[in-house]
This record gives sequence, structure tokens and C-alpha cells, in this order.
Amino acid sequence: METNNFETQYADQLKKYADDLVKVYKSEQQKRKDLENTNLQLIKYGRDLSSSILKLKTANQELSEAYLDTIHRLVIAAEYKDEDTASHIVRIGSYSAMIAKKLGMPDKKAINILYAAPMHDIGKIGIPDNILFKPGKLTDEEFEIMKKHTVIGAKILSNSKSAIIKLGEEIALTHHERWDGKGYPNQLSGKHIPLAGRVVAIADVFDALMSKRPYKEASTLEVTLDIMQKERGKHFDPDILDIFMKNIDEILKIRTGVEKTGPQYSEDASLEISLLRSQ
Amino acid sequence: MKKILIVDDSVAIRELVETTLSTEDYQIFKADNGKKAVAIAEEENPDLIIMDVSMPGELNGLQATKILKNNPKTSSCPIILLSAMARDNDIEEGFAVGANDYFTKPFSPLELIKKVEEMLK
Repeated sequence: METNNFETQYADQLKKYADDLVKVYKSEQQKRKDLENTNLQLIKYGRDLSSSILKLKTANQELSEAYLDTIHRLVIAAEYKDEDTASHIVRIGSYSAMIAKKLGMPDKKAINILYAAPMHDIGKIGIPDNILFKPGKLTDEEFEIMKKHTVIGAKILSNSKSAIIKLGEEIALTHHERWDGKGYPNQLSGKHIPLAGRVVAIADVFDALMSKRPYKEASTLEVTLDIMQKERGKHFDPDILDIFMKNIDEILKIRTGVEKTGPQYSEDASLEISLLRSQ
Repeated sequence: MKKILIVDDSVAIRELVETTLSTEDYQIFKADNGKKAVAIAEEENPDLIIMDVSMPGELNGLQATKILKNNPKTSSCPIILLSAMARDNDIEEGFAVGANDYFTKPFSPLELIKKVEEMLK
């Protein structure tokens, strides 16, 4: 009897354990299901998030292209009276970006220079036509007015939030300063001249010497390089000039490239950017 | 500021829906069962309710929706049901008790945002 009673109690207790085990099991199962559902929901969130980011990226890219295109067209508009092709300003941008890259600047900065350097002469829009297009030599007084294109350009580009326009302002103001301090408008010398200004000075002079103008023939490459070498440490930052000379083959490649593709800036930019990347 | 009431027994889903709706400046109320949802709706007069269907407690989502839609004080408030039950007759049942829309879980947060903005216009 006693044994029987004991066994019954034992069985009852076991049943209690089994019941509780089922309860625990069911509640664990429910928790597991909840977690799985939450997990599925989170996956959905992840998908929507990445599709949103993709859409934003595309929109951003389109905006950025439209912005660069607008800058480019404004620069063409400003230069239109002077030159009806964009090839000069495209070349200045490409040369400057290449030199910048060779100087070890990060890609982003070099690409900013690519777009900012073409604005260097934008202030010429404020110079009277009789001075800007005078076939002969300028008088001292006229030259003083001509020099103002640097300050006018900087003023046109001042107070922008855009990194490219800010850099354009710096370049417009300083691309006629000289390493020896005899430039204009502020007679800055050496490293007091912002780096971008020192780079564009070299690109600008090279392109001017190599180009035919109403009042002069184009110089040969040999003569151009000779003139520039003589300005090492005078007009130009000696270190940057050395780098320019060392990479003259690539500069010439850019020059032929721009002549071939013409003034399509965006094409040239992508060419230039791929050039920058391949190095 | 528009008021939105989120009802779900899962805290994870309540938080996710709240975060989803943080794209706009909404005043958010939350409840974890149908009974609390009905009480808050009467008190706060929300502009929109987003409600789970299967919730433990006295009132599930369908029952709570029915009560809210039959109460003149809350009947004009749009209700979006949000449920893992995705069969045709589950959805039909949701619309039958008066829900204005029915999203199956897992739902697309972008679609939810779009629907909420559309309903609050």
C-alpha cells in the first residue's frame, strides 16, 4: 500500500514536471516565433533602407552633375566674348588637376581644382572691351585696370558655401601672384600664395605660350619650356615647376586629348578623372 | 501636430513603427493591447491608428477596430491594420470591421510612410 501510495505521489510529481516543461516549451516556442517575425521585419527594413540610399545616391549624382554643368556653362558665358570654344578653360582645369595629383593631393581636392581652375579669369567680364581686346600693348594705366580681373573674379565668387566656388575664388585672386613677390594684386610671395594659385599660374602660362593669339603666334614646345624654366623660382614655385616638367608628356597627352574631343567638358572631365584614378 | 496611435503587443514592432514615422513631426502614442488602445483613442482623438490584429488580452485588433468604428467619437479616425495573418479572408475580415487599410507583416516601411502621409493629407 505504502509503496503504491509513494508511486502515485511520484507519478503526480512527474506529471507536474511534464506539464511545466510543456508550458516552458510553448512559451519558448512563442518567443522564438516572435523573434523570427521581428527578424523578418528587420530584413524588410534593411531592404527599404538600401533602396532608399540607392535612390538618394542617384538623385545626388544627378544634382552634382547638373551643378558642375552649370558652373561650366557660366564660365563659358563669361569667356564667350574672348573665345567661343571652351577648350582653353578645359585645358587649364585638366593641367591643374593633373599637377595637383602629382603633388600628392587627394583625388577629391584634385577634382575640385579640375572644376575651379577654369574660373581663374572670370573677372575679365568686368574689364572694358577696349582694354580687354586692345590689339597692341596696354598702357600702364590700362594694365592697372586689366590687373583688376583678379579682384573682380574673387568678388564674383565670394561668400559661397561650395568648396569648388571657394577654391575658384582663391584661384581667381592669386593666379597672377609670382613666387618672387612681383605679381599682382597683393604681391604675395613663396608659400604665402595658396597652392592652387601657384599650380594654376603654371598651367595658365603654359597654355598661353602654346596658344596662338590675335597679337602673337603660338610658341613651340621647346621655346615654351625654355621660357618657363627660366622663370623657375622667379615667376613659378620651383618645386611645382619641377613636377610639371617631369610630367610634360602627360600634359601634352591632355592637350591632344582636349583638341580631339573638343570642348565637351563633361567627357573631358571623366577622361581626366579616369586618368587621375589610374595613377 | 498630427497624433498617431501605434498598437502592437510586440515592443520591437512598436519601436520600429515609431522610428519609421520619425520622418515627420508626429505626436506618437503607444499601446500594447486593444483595450488600452480604445481608452487612449477616446482620450486623445488621434488622427490615425496603426494596429496589430492578434494581441493577447480582452480585445484583439479586430475587436478594438470594431468598437472604435462604432463609437461616434472615434469613428472618423482612419485605422491601418498591421498583421502577420495574410490570408484573403483575414484581410477581408479586417476591412469588414471597418479598417481603412490592411498591411501584412513583414510590411515595407516605405509603403507604410507613403500610406500614412496619404491618409493624413
